[in-house]
Amino acid sequence: MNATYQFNWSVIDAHMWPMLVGLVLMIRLTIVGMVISLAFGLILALMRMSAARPVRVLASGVIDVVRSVPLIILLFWLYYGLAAQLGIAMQAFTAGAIALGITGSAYMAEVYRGGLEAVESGQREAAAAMGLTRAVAFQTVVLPQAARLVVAPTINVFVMLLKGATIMSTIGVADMIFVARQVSLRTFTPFELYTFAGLVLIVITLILAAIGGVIERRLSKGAGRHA
Amino acid sequence: MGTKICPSEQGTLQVTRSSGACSPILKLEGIKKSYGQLDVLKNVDLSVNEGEVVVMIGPSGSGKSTLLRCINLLTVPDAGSIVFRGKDYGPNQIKDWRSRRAFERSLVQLRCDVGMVFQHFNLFPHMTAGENVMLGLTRAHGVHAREARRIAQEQLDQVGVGDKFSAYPRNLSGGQQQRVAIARAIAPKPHLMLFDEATSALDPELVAGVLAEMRRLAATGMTMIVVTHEMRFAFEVADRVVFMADGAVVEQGPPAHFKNPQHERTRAFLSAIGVA
Ligand SMILES: Nc1ncnc2c1ncn2[C@@H]1O[C@H](COP(=O)(O)OP(=O)(O)O)[C@@H](O)[C@H]1O
Ligand SMILES: [Mg+2]
Repeated sequence: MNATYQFNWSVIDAHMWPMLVGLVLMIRLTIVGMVISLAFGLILALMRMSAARPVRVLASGVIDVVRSVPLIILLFWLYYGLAAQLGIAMQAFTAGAIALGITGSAYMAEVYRGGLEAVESGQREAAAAMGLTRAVAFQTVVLPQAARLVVAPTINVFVMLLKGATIMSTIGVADMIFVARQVSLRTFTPFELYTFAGLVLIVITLILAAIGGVIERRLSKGAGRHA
Repeated sequence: MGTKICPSEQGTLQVTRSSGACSPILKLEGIKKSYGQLDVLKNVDLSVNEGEVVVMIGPSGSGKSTLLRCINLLTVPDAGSIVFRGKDYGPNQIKDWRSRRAFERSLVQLRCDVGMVFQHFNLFPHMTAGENVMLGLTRAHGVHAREARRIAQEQLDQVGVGDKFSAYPRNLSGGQQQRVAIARAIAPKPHLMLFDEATSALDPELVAGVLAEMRRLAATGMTMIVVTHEMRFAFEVADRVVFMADGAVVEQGPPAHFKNPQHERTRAFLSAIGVA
């Protein structure tokens, strides 16, 4: 190899297609993980804010533990641990999606809680004082205000999960990183392939951030339809 | 004023000539509330007759807001009874209620009939002025959207912000926001209105306008409990002034009574704020 490294574009050109197939798989994984996170995160957040202390303590315990466990360890527990200990064998994709879903739920719980708690207490009080039930007050007053506050951090969680999906290759999910490794074993060009993967992820992240900005502006315009 | 139909203790209707003959529309007895070691309300009794305007005054921290919030159970007192239009909503009743659901139904019933105006307006920022007024009508009172829209427009007209139906709160002045909040509270025609320092957060030049709306409302015969630091307004509009200090009602009576208050605490307060 020369002192001046020659970036070999042709490798990318030649293997673009399988890389992108790997990317699509990553995105699918991330979306499934995110859907799990959106649903269970909300449940966890509501539990975390429950009036019943034991429920609150349980939820915050789960959130703290999950957030402190590295994703790769969670993934290995799910994929190898469950199979070895309990005989529960799942497909690599399933294990990956669940691992992302568990991590994402813990983070989304905090995102939701942040959004819900940022709605001033006077808003709930005014809604309660006019005779709205808690459910209706939540739906018409609290949620619409919290929604615009959670858009940006929700996109951050999505990006985090997308990056998290890059370690799924360690259990054999054929994602973009997996493809990059496989190809570079033959071509000896890991730098090109991983750089390409990195650039693709940066582009996706920027696009997501832009979409988030648009949604946020839409919401804050005050699309307050309710009746 | 005129003929009034009042529910009697037995629940039958009786027709009387004056509001004074009615049993009170609201009767608070033995209201207590503590936060940790701090006794914020110490055994407060207060009764309010239909059509009466009661103005509560007293030093900051004396428990006026807490008492007001106990009336519509935004704050649940530790003890006491809250009898509103013949039904007790106090904490003793809460223990009897079997389920959260029954509790919530009862709360909703009470709050649908008691309007409240807050110091900081608490308009919903994601809704227009009109939508703020409509929300309670459609979602708490089951009024059809079209009818709610008509009522909302009418109420906004009444308080002088009829042209702001489609404006968002952030584009309104403090005075306009508080007028919208008043329209929102009175639109469902509650039997009792609570005002908690409705003008304290306003720029000085906007205070008079909001006080004028409250005066107008009082003149319609609305039963009102008003917490305020506006003493001129208090003594002019009140049927009865209630002076609170340290979580208790110290003395009460018609405005004239406060020209010569009985208690040292009252005299000290009035002289401190430059009255009497
Ligand atoms: N939610 C609360 N938690 C703790 N203390 C409170 C709470 N609400 C009110 N207090 C205290 O109760 C006292 C009375 O407050 P408040 O009713 O707001 O008085 P006022 O309206 O007469 O100024 C104050 O000392 C206040 O700090
Ligand atoms: Mg107060």
